[in-house]
Amino acid sequence: MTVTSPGLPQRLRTMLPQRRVVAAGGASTQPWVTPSVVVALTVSLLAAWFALYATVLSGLQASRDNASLYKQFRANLAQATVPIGQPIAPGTPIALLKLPEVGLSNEVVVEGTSPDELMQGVGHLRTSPLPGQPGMSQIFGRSLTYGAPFGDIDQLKKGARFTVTTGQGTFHYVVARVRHVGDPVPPPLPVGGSGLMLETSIGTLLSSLRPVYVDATLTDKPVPAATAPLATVPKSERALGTDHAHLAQLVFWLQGLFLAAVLTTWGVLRWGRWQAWLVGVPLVLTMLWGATGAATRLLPNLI
Amino acid sequence: MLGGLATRFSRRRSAAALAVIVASIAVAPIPAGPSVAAAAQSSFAKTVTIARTYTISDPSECHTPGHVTANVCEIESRKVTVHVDRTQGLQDQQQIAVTWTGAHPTNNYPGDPNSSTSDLSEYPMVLLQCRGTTATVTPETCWAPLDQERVVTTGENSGAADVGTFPAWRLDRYAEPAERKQFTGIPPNPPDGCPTFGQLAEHVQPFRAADGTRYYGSGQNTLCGNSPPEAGSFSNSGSVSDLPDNATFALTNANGSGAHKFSVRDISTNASIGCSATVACVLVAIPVIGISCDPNFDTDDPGPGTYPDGSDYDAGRPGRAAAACEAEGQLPQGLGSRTDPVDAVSGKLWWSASNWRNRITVPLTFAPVAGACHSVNAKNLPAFFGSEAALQATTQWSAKLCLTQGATSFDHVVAAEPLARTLVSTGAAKAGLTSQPFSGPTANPIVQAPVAATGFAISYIIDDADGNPFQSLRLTPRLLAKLLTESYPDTSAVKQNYPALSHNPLNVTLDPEFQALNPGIPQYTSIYGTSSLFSISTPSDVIYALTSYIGADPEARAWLSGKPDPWGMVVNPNYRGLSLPVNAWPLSDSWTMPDSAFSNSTPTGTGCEGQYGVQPQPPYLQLISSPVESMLKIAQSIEYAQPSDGNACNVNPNLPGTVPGSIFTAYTRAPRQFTGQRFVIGLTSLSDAAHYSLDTAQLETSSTLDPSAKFSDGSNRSFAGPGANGLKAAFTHMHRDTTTGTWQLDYDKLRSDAPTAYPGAMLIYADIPTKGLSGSDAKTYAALLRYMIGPGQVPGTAVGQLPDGYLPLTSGNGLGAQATYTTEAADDIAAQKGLLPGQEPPTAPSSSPAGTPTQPGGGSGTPTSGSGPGGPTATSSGAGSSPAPSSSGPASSPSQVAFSRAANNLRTPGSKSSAYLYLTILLILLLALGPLAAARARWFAGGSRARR
Repeated sequence: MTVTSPGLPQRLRTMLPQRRVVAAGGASTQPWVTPSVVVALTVSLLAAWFALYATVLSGLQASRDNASLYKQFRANLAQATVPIGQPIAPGTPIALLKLPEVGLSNEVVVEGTSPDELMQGVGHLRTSPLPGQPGMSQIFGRSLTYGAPFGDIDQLKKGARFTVTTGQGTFHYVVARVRHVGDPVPPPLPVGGSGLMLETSIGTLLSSLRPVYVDATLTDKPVPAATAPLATVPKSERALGTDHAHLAQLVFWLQGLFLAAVLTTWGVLRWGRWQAWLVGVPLVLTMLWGATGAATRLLPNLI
Repeated sequence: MLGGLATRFSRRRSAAALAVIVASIAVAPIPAGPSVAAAAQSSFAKTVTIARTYTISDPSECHTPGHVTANVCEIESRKVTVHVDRTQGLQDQQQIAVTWTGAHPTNNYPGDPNSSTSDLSEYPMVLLQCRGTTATVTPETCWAPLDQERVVTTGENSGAADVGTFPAWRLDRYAEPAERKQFTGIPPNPPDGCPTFGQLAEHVQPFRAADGTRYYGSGQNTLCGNSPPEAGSFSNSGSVSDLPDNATFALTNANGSGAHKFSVRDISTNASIGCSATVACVLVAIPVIGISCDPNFDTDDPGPGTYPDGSDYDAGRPGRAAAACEAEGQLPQGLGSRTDPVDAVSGKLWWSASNWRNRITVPLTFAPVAGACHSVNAKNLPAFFGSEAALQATTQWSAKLCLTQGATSFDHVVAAEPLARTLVSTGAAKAGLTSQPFSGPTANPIVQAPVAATGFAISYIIDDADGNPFQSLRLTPRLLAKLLTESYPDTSAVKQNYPALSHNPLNVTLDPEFQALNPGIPQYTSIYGTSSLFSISTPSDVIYALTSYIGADPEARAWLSGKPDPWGMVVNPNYRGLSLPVNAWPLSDSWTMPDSAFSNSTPTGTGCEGQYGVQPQPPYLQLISSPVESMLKIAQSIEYAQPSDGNACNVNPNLPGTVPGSIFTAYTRAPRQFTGQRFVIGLTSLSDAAHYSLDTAQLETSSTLDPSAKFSDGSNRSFAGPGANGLKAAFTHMHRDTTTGTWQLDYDKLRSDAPTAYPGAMLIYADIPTKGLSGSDAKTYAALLRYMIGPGQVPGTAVGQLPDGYLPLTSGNGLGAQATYTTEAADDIAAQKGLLPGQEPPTAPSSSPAGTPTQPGGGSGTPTSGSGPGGPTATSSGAGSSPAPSSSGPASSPSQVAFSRAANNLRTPGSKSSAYLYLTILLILLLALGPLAAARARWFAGGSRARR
């Protein structure tokens, strides 16, 4: 049983043969630190990192994305170049949602609802008409990760007001009901009527995930639509859709992580401890960030 | 005083009695039963005595000794009776049944009485539709436009046929001299070629159209002038609208009797004859017995330009002409296809005075043409969308309302009922006519008020082995399933190359189940129409009702799930396990005929299959099914005996644009079938079947047989036909479904309790919202509904009355509850308070004025279960919130109490994903793993150190 100096990134213990010179006086300081314990601790750390990323760090990333999208949207709105009809490239900001009751003051709505687009904020389902146009418009948002913009919408009360600003103007909505799976389906819209449906997922720790809907009616007059929405979208853009196309990215990030770890360890062994640390930690953290990001992207889009 | 009282009392009693008598007389004329009685009152029958004679100068010249009076010899004499079943209130293309007895049997009958060669039969019964009255009708206004029916010519002949210039019609003893000229009927300023060059005699019978134009053509022969535009040229399909012609040269059987269903035409399909409600028309029946001759008319003038010195004079000609005129029919009795009948007794000379004077004239009256009434505000007429089965009734109702002063008529836009329900539920249409409840919540409360009690019928035209119409067809749900699921191969090529169907009988006439129930129908192997039910391809509540009936039968369900029938026939695998009922019948078989089945196909071969046929091959069994989009087309196809099969082959050599010498082939629809060998069976509405006088099948209602047992007759099964009794029994057994507000037919209950109830009965509802219509619309629709349930339920053939095929909604017919419901619904529609019959208005204190919009949270007036969007993939017409753009409105709106009756069975869908759950559990486990392992190791290490 060999001992390595404390402070080295834990995962190295699982990867390198232990031939480090024993530090003076350090023999048997921690005899309980066996390889299996090291593995277990590494795994726990990774899990903790994953949980931290999912709940906190991804929110940072999402609010950064939202800020840059807001700038872009504001500029487009001023120049009247915000798209108001299909085809709209997925990822384009198309509306601004202000729902003060759940803390959304300037949430940019992008076009498309795949996990990638919902990483940046809330997304508009492409088979539904744009907000303000006749028909039932649908907006998806995450409720746990990436800032959880729709995390509290199931707490909305009937009568809550909010606005959506698109390239065709500002539309005022009033919440009609919060609908869970199994609730009665409401009557259809009349011809020419317009409504908005916010959708996300809810689920507590020990019960499974299911969608929840918030139905809202438009209190203004609907504006005409120049084009029809898409007829169909891929599976990744439907509710609780997943996108496994980026699995390869996760593999690349993990390979990058592995390389970074190896390089850092090599640096610690050959170059110098604090130099390797200085260079290696940000490198490893970046790879880790990317890997967990790629991993969370594989989750359903409404989580 | 007592005496005075007594007098008063008795006076009152007698007054009461008188009132009762008067009331019953007033009420009695309204017939309570179906309108069959009305049709029977307009029937017509007449008997005439006809004779064929010829003039003689000496009694010894008479070939029939004992039949000489003065100088007239009688060849034969007959007493002919003609009966027509209905003659009043006729509509375009309706069929009237003409039957006769005592006529001369027909020879050389071509099979199709309306074809262009039907006039070449000997002694036919000629049935023609003519314009005029009994007193004024002449051959000039009779419709007989084909081939030699109006122009007969006589050329140079030799031998016994050499009659010079005296064919039989010139020797007609009853004809006027002007009708016996050598060239008669030639138009003034004739074109070149008229009279026909080289002919020795010609008779043209012009036709005078309703607008006064005279047509001198006859079918293909247009040398003397054109034919009327509705006449065909030489094809038997005739007319600009491709309708078969209705000039009939019908077959009289060997015993002198005959029957024919004559298709009348009014101004909408034949403007040249122009029959309408204001122009009188008649049916002329001419029992052809032959020309009565006067040989003395033969003055033997030579032909123009020939032998002025009489050098070609032939002394034998007069004798031969007389013999030809007096000749009797030579061709075999019954079917034949010769083109050389004895002219004197052929149908060609129907116009000749001898035949014409024997006519029986039947006066006909036509109903006003539907749509002839043009409302001033035609574009603002209220519209009903939906049900094709209601069309016959709504045609009458809208026509009557249009003619009524001060009443608003309506438009019936025929549409698929599921589409109509969607339109009405979203408010795109204000009213609909459907037969099923709504499948989801509606934007406004909608009442479904019954307005018509009718149903579907399986109509058919089938000839039995003797060539007479077969009229007692019986069908089981399993047979209907076999005919619908493309399970009969139809041709041996399919049977040999489609393994799944190789053990099935070729068509339904070869199916032992069909033979057991319908003995007497011949077994066909080569005619069209015997392998599939002629059906519709569009979504419809009629298909829903038919498939409900089939799906409720255990025998049919077992067969559809793959179990073979007792003789081994299996369902087409593409339909196996089909879950019924459905709104639209799917065409699921995509098998194509392989080229290897026709290995001897050549570039100039005459087939549509094979390597040189139609390429690429379409799905073959779908060609055989070939459904159409409306039941009206099916009814007319059955009337004219044209099956739906589209796998007949049209071969056209040397079409322009093709390689010279190549044959162009295309699949085409099968032609009309020959009388005597007809087999077409299709799905029609009951009203269309009654309108066109089609035969309808009896459907099985219950069976006590083991489904896997073979049987050879219809015993232990009960069948019910769509007569008044069958419909009444079915409607009496309908039960009201309180969740949907409609009346449903429970087939299992019918099976056990009511074997005489017709299972094809359907109620048609008017779907009208009770909230959201404008005031004037509400009043209009309420008035329309009151008309439909009141005067519109009186049966009869007059305008505005309920046509045949509908059962009046009265309590006598078991439909009293429905009639009451509709009457109350009309009030609710007028009030527009969002209530349905039987609901109370809300009693909450804050009275909401009409403008306050509506209910939160879902329930609307009526129905319920079914498919609806509401989940994540809803499109623009999908799930929504409360309809009207409401300004906030009082939060505590009491209007939500009114709709307790509307149970909404639709639930928000949503799949539950387990990813999160497993992930969370995994994460927690992994999180705990490290500290646990470390703690455990530390504890052990600490323990061992302590022990050291």
